[in-house]
Amino acid sequence: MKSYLKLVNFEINRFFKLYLIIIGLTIVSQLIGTIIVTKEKMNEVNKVIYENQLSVSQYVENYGTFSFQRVIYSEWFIMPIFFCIVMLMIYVFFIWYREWFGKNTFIYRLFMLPTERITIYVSKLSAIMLFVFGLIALQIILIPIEMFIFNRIVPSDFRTSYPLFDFYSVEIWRWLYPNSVIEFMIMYGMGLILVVILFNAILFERSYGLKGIFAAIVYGVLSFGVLFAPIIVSRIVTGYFYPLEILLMELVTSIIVLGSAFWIANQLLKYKIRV
Amino acid sequence: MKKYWKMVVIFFVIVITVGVYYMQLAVASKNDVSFKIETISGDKEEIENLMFQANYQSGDSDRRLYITKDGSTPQIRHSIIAKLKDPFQTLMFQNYIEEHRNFMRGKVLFPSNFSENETHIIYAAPPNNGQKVIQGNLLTLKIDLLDKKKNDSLSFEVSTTAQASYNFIVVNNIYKENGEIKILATGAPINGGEELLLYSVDINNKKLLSVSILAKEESDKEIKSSLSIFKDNSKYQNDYFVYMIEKYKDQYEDGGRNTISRQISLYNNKNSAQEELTIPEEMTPDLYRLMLREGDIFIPLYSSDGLQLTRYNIEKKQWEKPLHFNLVSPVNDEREPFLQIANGKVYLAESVSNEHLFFIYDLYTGESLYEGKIIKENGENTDYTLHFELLNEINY
Repeated sequence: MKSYLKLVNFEINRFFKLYLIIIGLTIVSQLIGTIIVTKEKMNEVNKVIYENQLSVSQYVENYGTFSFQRVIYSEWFIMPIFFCIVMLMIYVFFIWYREWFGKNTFIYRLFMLPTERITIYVSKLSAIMLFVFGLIALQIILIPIEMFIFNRIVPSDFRTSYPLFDFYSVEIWRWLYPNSVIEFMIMYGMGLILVVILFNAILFERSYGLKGIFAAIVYGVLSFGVLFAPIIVSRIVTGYFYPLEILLMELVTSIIVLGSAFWIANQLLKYKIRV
Repeated sequence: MKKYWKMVVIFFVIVITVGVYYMQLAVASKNDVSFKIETISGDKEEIENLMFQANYQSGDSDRRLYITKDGSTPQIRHSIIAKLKDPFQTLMFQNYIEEHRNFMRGKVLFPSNFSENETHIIYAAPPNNGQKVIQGNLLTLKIDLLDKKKNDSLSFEVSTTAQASYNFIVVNNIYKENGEIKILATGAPINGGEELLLYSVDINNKKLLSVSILAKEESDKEIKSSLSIFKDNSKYQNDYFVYMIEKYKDQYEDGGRNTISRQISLYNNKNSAQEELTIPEEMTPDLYRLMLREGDIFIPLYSSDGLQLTRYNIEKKQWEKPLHFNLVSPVNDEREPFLQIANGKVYLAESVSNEHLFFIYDLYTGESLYEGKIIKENGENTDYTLHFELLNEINY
């Protein structure tokens, strides 16, 4: 346990500066975006009011009010989220390959540690998941701040309230913050399995070289095939299985894929990995 | 511990933030817009098992609500778990699945594909599973019957050579009597237009007895035509349906038409007889609202002084004295009350400047049985619209 925590901490320290940059870019982009988008809209409102000599109530009657939705539909809000996703996807590969392609082959030293090699694998996986959840938490923290800025710029006469449920009209929000804790676990459980499959694909390549790339592709296709088999089957025999049954089957296939992935990773790290 | 500070900070920020978010979401669902039915007068029993399906809109907010006498629950859209028990899936199907889990497997869940009588639930899949039908190829109909008492099911397919090519054929109505099933379907011929088809199936010999084209509509450059079907939408099979072929020259922006001719026919499933229906001239603009209920045809007619409900008794072949219902405010193109006829009652809901009034009347006497209001339970916001879509019985 201690060595696992040390390794996770070590992974976090190595990425921390870059992680702070990603966090900083997200904060800056979204806060500036909130100000720009809101001010732009208010300028538009003022222009219409000025040009048509309208009172506030006349404007609202003719053009309606607007809500925080304007901010969350803007590229200033969406783009940093995609940027974070892309950066973390790249880091999934980087977290392994840098051990081989650094100034000195650091993987030697990692494998020489007096701990099970699978611990290294799990610590890297934990670090990735911590970074993902950290960014998820950051977005939750940013929303009230952005709403505060929005409310400060937009007078209440022009504002419509924007309840939490309405965030779910944004596609990306539905994926990042599923409706309930259970759905949250399902969604991020799937994300974890995706990362594990990518990790194993990397280990196949690191173990068998060029042949390993082929093995990685076959492994990836097989894993995703098993993982999504219940959904594929339910699409073929439309309506035969009830949704709850599909969910349970998905749970079983997820456990199979995840269990076998850890077993394969353990075997590769113990006996096949090349350094 | 000190050296792990970054990890600890990230971990605690995640746990606290995500935890608080989901707690907020739970609180938000409790404090979300809520409506309930409140009694003004009449028998409270009338609303005991009723549930309104309504659409709530305010600014950028858009929710589907299920309103009962006890309050409303929002349907959280895009939820995996909610979709597993989708309340939008009609109560009829929820109950069918609960009671006949195996029979309901693999069925297309459209009410038109199901029919029920005292002894059986009958299901007909869309011909050729809704795929293209090619002339000369086999056209297959899959039929499933469930004996409600024995809980036994029978499943079989009948085939015939397709006499024409269709983009698709959909089932509209199913009727079973004396070992025979009649399937009314609408076909979309490849060359355009629409056909009303009737398949008769012998259950005992699992044979297709006949395929007939009841009606056909074809448009050309000059004259357009449309085919409409009216039937009783209650889950139990009914003896009659009405179909109308309308020929018209122009369709106006408001949906009105420059009608050339209308042919309205009443089909009797019991004896396969058809007769032409003559609708009084004053009701023709509102023909699209025509409803069939338990052997009667109803045509609602809105005017400045309320709602007039005209009934045609099919057995007696006569138009009964219309019933009149007062409306709080006049109907216009933008505002029409919600009207549903079921179980021998008229359900009427009106929205007048954010007051939602709800009335229940006896269908045959017009006597008022219940009067109530649908009131907003929480939230200061009065800038919203509530659109009633459907009224369900909870114990369908």
